[in-house]
Amino acid sequence: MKTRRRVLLHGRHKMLSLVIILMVVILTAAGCAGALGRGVAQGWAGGVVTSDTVIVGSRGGKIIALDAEDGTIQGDPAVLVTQVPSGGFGCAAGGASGVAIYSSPVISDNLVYVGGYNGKVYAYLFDGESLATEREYAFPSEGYLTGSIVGELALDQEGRVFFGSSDGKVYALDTKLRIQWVYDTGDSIWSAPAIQGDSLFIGSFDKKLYALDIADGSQRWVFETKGAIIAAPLVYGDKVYFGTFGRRFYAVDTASGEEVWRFPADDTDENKPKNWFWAKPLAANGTIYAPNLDGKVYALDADTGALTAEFDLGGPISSSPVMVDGLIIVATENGDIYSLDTADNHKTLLAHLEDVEGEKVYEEKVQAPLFAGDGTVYIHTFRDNLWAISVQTGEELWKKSLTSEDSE
Amino acid sequence: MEVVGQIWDTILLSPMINVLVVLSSVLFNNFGLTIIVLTFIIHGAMFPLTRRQMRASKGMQELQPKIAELRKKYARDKQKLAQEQMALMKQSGVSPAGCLLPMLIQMPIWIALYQSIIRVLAYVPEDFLKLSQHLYTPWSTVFSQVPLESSFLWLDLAQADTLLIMPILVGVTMWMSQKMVTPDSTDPNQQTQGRMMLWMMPIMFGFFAMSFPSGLALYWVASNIIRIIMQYFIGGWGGLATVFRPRPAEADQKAQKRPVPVEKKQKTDKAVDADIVISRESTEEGTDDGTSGDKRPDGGRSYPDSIDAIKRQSRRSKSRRRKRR
Repeated sequence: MKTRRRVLLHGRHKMLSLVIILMVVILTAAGCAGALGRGVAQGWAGGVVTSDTVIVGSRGGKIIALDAEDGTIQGDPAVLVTQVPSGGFGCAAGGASGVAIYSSPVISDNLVYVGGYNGKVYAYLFDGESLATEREYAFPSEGYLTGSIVGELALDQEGRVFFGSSDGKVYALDTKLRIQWVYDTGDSIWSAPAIQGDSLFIGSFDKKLYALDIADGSQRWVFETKGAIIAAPLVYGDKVYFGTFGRRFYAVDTASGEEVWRFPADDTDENKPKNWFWAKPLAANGTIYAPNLDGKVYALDADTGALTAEFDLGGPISSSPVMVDGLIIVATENGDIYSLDTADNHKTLLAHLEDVEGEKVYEEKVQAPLFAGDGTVYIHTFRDNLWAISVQTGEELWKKSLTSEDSE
Repeated sequence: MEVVGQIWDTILLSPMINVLVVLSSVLFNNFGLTIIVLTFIIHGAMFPLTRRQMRASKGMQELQPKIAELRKKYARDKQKLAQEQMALMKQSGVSPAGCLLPMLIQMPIWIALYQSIIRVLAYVPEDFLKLSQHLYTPWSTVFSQVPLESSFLWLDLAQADTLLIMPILVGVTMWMSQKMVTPDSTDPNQQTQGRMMLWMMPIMFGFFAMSFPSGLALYWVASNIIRIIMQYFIGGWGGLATVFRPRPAEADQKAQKRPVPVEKKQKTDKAVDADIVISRESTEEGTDDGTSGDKRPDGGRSYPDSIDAIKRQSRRSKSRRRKRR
C-alpha cells in the first residue's frame, strides 16, 4: 500500500520536481559564473616591440618574449599569479590563478612593467632576449590594491610609472615601484594616462578629465563632460583630445583646461556617433582619427574639429589603432584589419583574421591594442593568438598561439 | 545556438538593460532604488499571472482534505484516484499548472536581470564592452548614463554582500512567502515534501545570494516582500499564521492532561488514518446515530483498529470465558 502511495505522490510531484531541478541547474550554472566573478575577466593586453623582440601579455596571465622575425618564444614566460578565494557551491576552487592582463607591458631600460587585473603592478628584468621568471619589483609589495588595473601604464622620460585603478586613484611610482604620490578622483579609472612635459591627463568614470602635475600629483584643472571617459586621451600640439561615453569627442587646451571644440558641435542626436568612444585616438598631418564602437573612424580637423572624413569599417572598434609608416592600422572586433592612408584618406582591407584548427575555422576577435615595429603590425586576438602582419602587403608573416605548449 | 542567443538578447536582455539605465537616470542615479522600482514594475506586469498562481495555490490548499478523502477511498485503485482527483480539480477550477507557470516565466527574468546588473555596473571589462551593443541608439541618455553607481546603503551592488545580511534576508523573506502558501496536510509523505520545499528553496537562494552580486539579492528580497503582501491580500497569512499559534501536537499534549475522552479519540483517528483500514468504515457503518461511540467513557479505546484486532479480541474474550469456567 505504501509503495503504491509513493508512486502516486511521485507522479503528482514529478513536474514540480523537474522544475526545481531545472532551476537548480540553471541557477547553479549562473551562480558558478557569479562565483568565479573575476575569473571571467580574461584580459586583452597588447605588447611592446624592442630591438628584435616582441613582449606581449597573454590571456592566461603570462608575459611572453618572442622573436620578432619568426615568433619563436624566447626563454620561459613570466607568469602573473594571484590568490583566489574559493567560490560558492564548490564551482571555483581556491588557490593560485593566472592574472587577467588588460594593461599592455611597457619597457624602460632593462625592466618590463605590467599591471594586473588583480590590482598589482609587476616589474621583470629583461636581458634583451628573454624575461626573468621571478619578478624584480611589485606594487604593492604585499597584497593588492582594492581596485583592478584595466588601463595602460604610462612612463615618463625618467622611467617613472603612472596608472589609474578601479579604486578611483591615480598612482605615480618610481622605477623600483615605490610610491611617489596618489591622487583620488573618487570614481573608477580604466583610462590610461597621457603625459606631456610635466602634465598628466587622465579620464575617469566620473565623466571628468583631470590634468595633474606629474611631480607631486597636484590638480591643475578638471574638465567635465557628459559621459564616462575610458578611452586614453591623446596629447597633440597644445591640445588634449579624447572621446567619451556621451558619444562626443573633445579638444581641450592643455594649459588652461578650456574647451577648444567638440564633435559634433551641435546637440542634435542625428550627427552624433552611434556608440561610445572606447579606443585611443591617433593624430597625423593635422588630423585626429577617432575610432568608435559604431564601427567608424572619424577624421577630425585638429584645430577646428570639422569632420574631414569618415571610415566605415563594418565592426565595433575597441582596439586602439597604431601608426606605421604613415598608415593608420585599425582592427575591428570582427577580425578585419584596415590601413588608412593619412595622405589621401584612403582605406584598404589588409587582412581578415581566421584561426584554422583542422577543418574548423574560427573568426578572430580583436580587442587588444595593436602594436607595431619595423613595418609589421602585431595583433593579439581573443583566441590568444599573436599575429604578425605586413603593413604594406597584409601578408601573414607568422602566427603564434600564446596558450601552446612551448609558451608554458 | 547563436540564434537563440540573439533572440534572448533582443527580447529580454537588451530591453532589461535599457529600462534599468533609463530608470536609474530618473531615480537620481540610485541603482539600488532602480532595482526595487523595477521589481515593482515586473510584479505589476505579471500580476494577473501571479494572482492566478496564488488563487490556484489557495485552491489546492483548500482541496487537501477532499484529496485526502479520495486517497483513502481509492487507495487500491490508482487510475480511479487520478481520475477523481482531476475531476475534483476541474470542478473546483484549480490547476497544478497554475502554480508553476508564473514561476517558470520569472526564471528568465532573473537570469536577464543578473546579466544586466553585471554589465551595467562594469563588473568585468569584457561584459561591459559587450554592453555597448545592447544600448538603444535613439535613447541618447543610456549611453552617457553608464556605468551606473554601484553603491547602495552598505552594499556594492556589483559584489556579493560580505556582511551576509542580504543572504539572510533572502532566506527569511522567501521562507515567509513559502510558508504562507504551504498547505497543512495530514498525509506524512506530503508533510515531508512540503517541509522540504519550505526549507530547501530559502536555503538554496540564501546560498546563491552569498555568491551573486548583491543587486540580484536585492531584487529577490524586494520580490519576496511584494509576494508576501500580495499573498496576504489574496489569501491572508495562510500557513504563516500557525507559526505564532501553538502547534497541534502541543495542543494535544495540553489537552491530554485533561481527561476529555473526545481528545483521545482524535488521537486514535490519526492512527487509523495512517493505516487506511476498512475497520473504521465498518465501525462507522455500524452506528446509526452517527456518534460512532465517540462519547464512550473509555474514549473509544476498546474499539478495535483492524479485522485482525477484532479476531484477536474475540479469541482473547473466548479464553477469558474459558478461564472463568
